Amino acid sequence: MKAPLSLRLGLDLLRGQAPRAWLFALCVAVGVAARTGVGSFLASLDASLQRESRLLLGADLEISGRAPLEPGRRAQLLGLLPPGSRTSERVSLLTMASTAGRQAGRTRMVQLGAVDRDYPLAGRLVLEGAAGASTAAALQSGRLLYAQRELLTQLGVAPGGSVRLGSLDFTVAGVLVDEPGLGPGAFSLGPRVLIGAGQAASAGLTGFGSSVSYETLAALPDPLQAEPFARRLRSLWGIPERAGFRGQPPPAGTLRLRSPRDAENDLKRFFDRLADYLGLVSLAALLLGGVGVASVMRGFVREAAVPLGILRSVGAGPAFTREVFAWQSLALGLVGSLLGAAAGLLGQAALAAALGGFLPVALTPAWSPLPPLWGMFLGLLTALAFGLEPVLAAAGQSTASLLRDEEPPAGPRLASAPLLPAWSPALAWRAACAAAFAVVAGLEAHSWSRGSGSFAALGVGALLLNAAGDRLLPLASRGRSLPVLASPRGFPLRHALANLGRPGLRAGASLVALGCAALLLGVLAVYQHSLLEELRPARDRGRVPDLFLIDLQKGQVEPLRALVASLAPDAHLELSPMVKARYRGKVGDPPPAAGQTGTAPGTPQGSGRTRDDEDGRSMREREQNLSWRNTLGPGESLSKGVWMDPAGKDVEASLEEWYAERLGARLGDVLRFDVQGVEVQARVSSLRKVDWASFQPNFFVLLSPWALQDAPQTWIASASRAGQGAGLEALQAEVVRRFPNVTLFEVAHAAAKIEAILDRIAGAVRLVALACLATGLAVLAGLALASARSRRFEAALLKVLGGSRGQILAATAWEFGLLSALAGLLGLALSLAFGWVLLDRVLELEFHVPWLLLLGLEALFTATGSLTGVAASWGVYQASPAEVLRQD
Amino acid sequence: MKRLEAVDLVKHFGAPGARVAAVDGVSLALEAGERVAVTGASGCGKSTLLGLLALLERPDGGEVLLEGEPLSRLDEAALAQRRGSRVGIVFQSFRLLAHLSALENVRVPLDLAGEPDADARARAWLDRVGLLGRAGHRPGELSGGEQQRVALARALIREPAVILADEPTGNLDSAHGAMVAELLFGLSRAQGATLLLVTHEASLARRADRVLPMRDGRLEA
Repeated sequence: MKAPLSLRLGLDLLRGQAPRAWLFALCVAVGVAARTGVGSFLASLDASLQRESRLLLGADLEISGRAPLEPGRRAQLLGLLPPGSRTSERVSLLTMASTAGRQAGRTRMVQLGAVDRDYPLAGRLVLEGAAGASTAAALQSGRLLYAQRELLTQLGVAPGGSVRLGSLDFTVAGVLVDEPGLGPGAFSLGPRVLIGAGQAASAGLTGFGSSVSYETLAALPDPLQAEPFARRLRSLWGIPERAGFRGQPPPAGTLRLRSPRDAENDLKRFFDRLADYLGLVSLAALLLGGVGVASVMRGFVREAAVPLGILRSVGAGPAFTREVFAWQSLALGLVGSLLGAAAGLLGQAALAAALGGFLPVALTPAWSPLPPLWGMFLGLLTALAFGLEPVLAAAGQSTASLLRDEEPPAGPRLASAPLLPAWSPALAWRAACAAAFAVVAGLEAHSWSRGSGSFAALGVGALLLNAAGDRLLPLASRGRSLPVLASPRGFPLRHALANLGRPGLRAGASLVALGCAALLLGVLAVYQHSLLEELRPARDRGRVPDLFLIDLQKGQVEPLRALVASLAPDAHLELSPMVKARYRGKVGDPPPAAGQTGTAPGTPQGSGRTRDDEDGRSMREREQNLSWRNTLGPGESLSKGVWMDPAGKDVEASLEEWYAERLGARLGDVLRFDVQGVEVQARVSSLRKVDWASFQPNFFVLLSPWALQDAPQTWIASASRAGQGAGLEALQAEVVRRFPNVTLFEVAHAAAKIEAILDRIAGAVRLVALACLATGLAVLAGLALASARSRRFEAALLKVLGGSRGQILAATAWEFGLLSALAGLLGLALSLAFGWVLLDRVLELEFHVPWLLLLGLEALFTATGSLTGVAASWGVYQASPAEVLRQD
Repeated sequence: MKRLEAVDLVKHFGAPGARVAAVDGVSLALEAGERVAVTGASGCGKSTLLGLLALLERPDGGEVLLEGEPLSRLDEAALAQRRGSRVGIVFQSFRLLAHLSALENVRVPLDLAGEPDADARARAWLDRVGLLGRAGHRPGELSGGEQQRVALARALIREPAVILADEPTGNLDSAHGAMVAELLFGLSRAQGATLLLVTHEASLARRADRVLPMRDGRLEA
């Protein structure tokens, strides 16, 4: 079968256009590589987690609750487990470890596990320098512990030394290197410590108010039976699919059941969210590549003017022209997509390296076909969408004009374009493509609002950059007449500025592509910097607390006040009560259908139609900490309604406004809460804005002060101006000694952890965002190629007039450096504006500008742009002066 | 010492096995201040000869001597330096940089050489060719005759020892052609520069001190 004429002509027209064709493919390939890399990385992580899921749990089943499993249920469980099954008990809690026997020793928060001799049931414990210890049997013979090296270093204790936990001193029997489910240290709240079964209770760590989780682990003879068994048990005991979260004990009175798949999903959730953002950034790289595609295609259309004119003169219509270039776009898009997919598959390792130390399992590359196929689909969509754009825009060129090999008529400048352009095929195509990419962005973000919002922001950025370029490039070109450039040495710069005003340069595409890349990298830098500034504990000492104390008992509140007043008289304590509860819906809501409490069996936890759905459901289903206070806290302000009447008859609720939005709650709604078995109904009387960055104890839900006075409660305290260094250490040590059930968070340590996490996340996003810079540089190289003919002539002429190769090279370097610097400057300026909107208006955080980092980015854009321009114009410097004569 | 000398110049074009001698053993010598016209039919090799003499390309054989200095062993940078300082070239189609103003085009040789007072000197030269009032205009805003006068000012601004003109009036109507010819001969005489022009216009050739007819790559006289 013979290929259609339009296809053959489309491919024929590529002859002699190799540099342009490769550039087209490159513009597509970079974005496809980024998207394939992100997708493949996630697929590899999925596969690795699936493979290791049993080891993540250390068993085939984990049943946990706030109290030990009732004897009746335990007996039932043992009866249901298939013969040959094994069980093990574990008690988990967050507590404080300190140096033993010293009055003012160091204290650190640890993740404590009190385990029996059979622990773990899957996988093994790995101890430093001890080949044999694979279970916790050795811990059962006394007050012994295994601890991670991090804790020993922090406390200054060596193996064989003593560590105090609660009211008891333990001897360090080994340094824990690995344990099933230990995961990356970056996300843990403290180092891991293991002690023998029963020792947590002996040390007084499991009293009322402690966030203790009692866990029964089971290993089945056939691990494949774990999921069916978990489903059966859930159904039998009425355990919802989703109760409690990783690291959080299940609500009082309920049980939580986790299978290896649940453990896998718990770990995956963070990376799924990260992948959403990485997917969006790689989509941005593709869209910027699209700008390059349109630019290259404009060159193809220009070169094909005469053949197209001839075809038109013999009767070919506009549809045929579109077909020719559609084939061309698809062919080049396919080449770019294939190259990008291959590069992405190989490049997933780079992303894994960027997140090194954060991954919960060792990553083995999985060659899933879906990520490259999705990447290629996006590549082809980009090629077609942007490739046909200039074809449609130039459709108005007359046949005679084509035959005369004339430039297609330029569209109206943005400044003079009407607000609502008249309908045209080009406009319709643009609208359709914008809609398609908005949908893709929504799919990538798993959120229509976040996806289309990001797409719209990028679009607005591109339009602003284009408009700014339209005005600034001629202005910059006129700058060559500045007296400061009049000296003889100023020639390269002066000539470069003159070149920015070169007719038909079409520098706008490069400005948009590079500017958008700068915008993305700039917003990322501003966002990261502002978050870190918010987290800096020393930023505003006195306002930001030094310590958080949780799990305080009601009776401990006054003794704690007295203790702090005596040891740190300047300290300010902020105390709030907390009552655990679960939201049960609004009065008047239809009752939930059977099985609606969680996701359908077999569906991964947390899966929903969109991330927004997931967030909403998570907010509704999570355990809530209810609190009360007589007046608004220091970081709070009312945004709607009136503050509750402390003497009112009905229970009133004040909701944090974002939480209210997630819940779908409005003023006047009556909410139902299950407060440890007792239903409390509260009418929403106000919505609050909360400054979460104040680091004060803040709550989504505040109820009338009298409503929960008698409910079982714990207290949370923050201590500001509590001292530094040894003074702070002494206070912590004394608090731990006097109140062993209390857990302390030192804000500086938490901030350092968060900083490390943010750094890694930003590193991964920056890695993918660099694809945008690469695309921008490809578009810049396209500009060099598009203007190569006139540049070559110009270089030859300058040589005729006595110019050296060095002078021409310097002028080229200046020209592309200036263009890139301008693009970077505009993009970074926009990133400040966008960053301000994001931080100040949306996230309501303080806006901080990382000037040095932005300066570095500007230098990076200028230098890489200059080098790219010089490299892409290489043939120009070889121009012989004789070429000028030959053109006569 | 001759101002410009060519000794047995040879230049071939075309693929190996089908090479054509565009310039085939040409020798000539031009004195200081002498005005010489090379004439001949289209394709006889006169523009190639001019390119060789203007140091725009290297000959396959023979030697070019500028003010007694043989040029074949000079590297590109040195050639560019000689071209900029000692040779002025005028092209048939003007060869102005489209995005620069007339003034900027004229001052380019001074800029490249790093010479001082470029602006004032360029203005003076524009004045000499009668275009000071058009200094800020770009080539696209000038007529053909005006463009060629700008090109002439650019060729002469560094007061070269040799002026080489390739069909300088070829793209102009007779009135503008006459004006440009007048300027070309007048200014070169005023500067004592040697002028070699390639033309097929008899009227222009007649104004030269010597006319060298060329055919099939060889000078006939």
